[in-house]
Amino acid sequence: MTRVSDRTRLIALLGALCLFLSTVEFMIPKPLPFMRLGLANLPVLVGLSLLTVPEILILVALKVAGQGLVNGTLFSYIFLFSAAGSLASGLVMLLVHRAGGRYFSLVGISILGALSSNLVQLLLSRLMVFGDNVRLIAPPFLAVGTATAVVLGLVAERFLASSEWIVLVRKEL
Amino acid sequence: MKIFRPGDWVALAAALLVVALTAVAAYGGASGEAVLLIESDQGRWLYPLDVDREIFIPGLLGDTVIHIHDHGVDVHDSPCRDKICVNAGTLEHPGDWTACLPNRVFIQITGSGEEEALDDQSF
Repeated sequence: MTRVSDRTRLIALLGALCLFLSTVEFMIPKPLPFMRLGLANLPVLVGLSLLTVPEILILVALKVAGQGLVNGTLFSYIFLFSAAGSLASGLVMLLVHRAGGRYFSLVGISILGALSSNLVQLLLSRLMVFGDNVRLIAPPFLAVGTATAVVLGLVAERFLASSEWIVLVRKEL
Repeated sequence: MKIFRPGDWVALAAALLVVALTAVAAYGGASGEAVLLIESDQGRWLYPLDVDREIFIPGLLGDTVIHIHDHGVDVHDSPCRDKICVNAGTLEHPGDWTACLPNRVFIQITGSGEEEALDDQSF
């Protein structure tokens, strides 16, 4: 097995994990429209320290495609929200991780990623759908996003610290 | 195992600050008598809450059916898959809102203090 193919397989595995977690998230009932847990961000958080920048962007694209498939929004305007939010959060998380990795754990990175994704989606829905009413949606949307981001960041940190699979992957890459 | 680093607290503080600012912007100045404001891509409607009625709002997919009764607002039916707005329960207070995203219908109870809201109630 060559190096290249190992890396490709890792991206594919993390992408598949995004698809699976999107499915799990889809099954969890939401009390309000717009509420998300962001479970599918977990593989992206884990991938930050394993993959290169282009590889992370591929992973984000896989995540967006997976969510679109699972939610059935792949060919609707809602897909645009998802894609823009994921791209923004992916870029911010990459930037913070690469530039300020010493000062941030995955918890902080996850919070900033969720914040940027949610702000972009709020901005889009303000421009495209709901106009000024978005200000009513914003506070609970952002608060829930922050809370779940903290939990996801903690889970990702614990996973990276204790997973034997990660040790194996790091050795092979 | 120590997880948190200094930047995490900065990130958390920044996120909470954004939540606080948006909360003040959203719920700060609600006053006046409560009215029901409905918006879809077909237009805008205002209804008083003291008259019980059934309203059909045309949206992207079809009619969203809204009931006003006992000063509260229920989404009775909407042509979407998830029925999140139908299951959301009764809206009663200014600031309460719900939405049918697939049908692009936004429903909220708002103060009628702003003249702007009254001026463009009909299309």
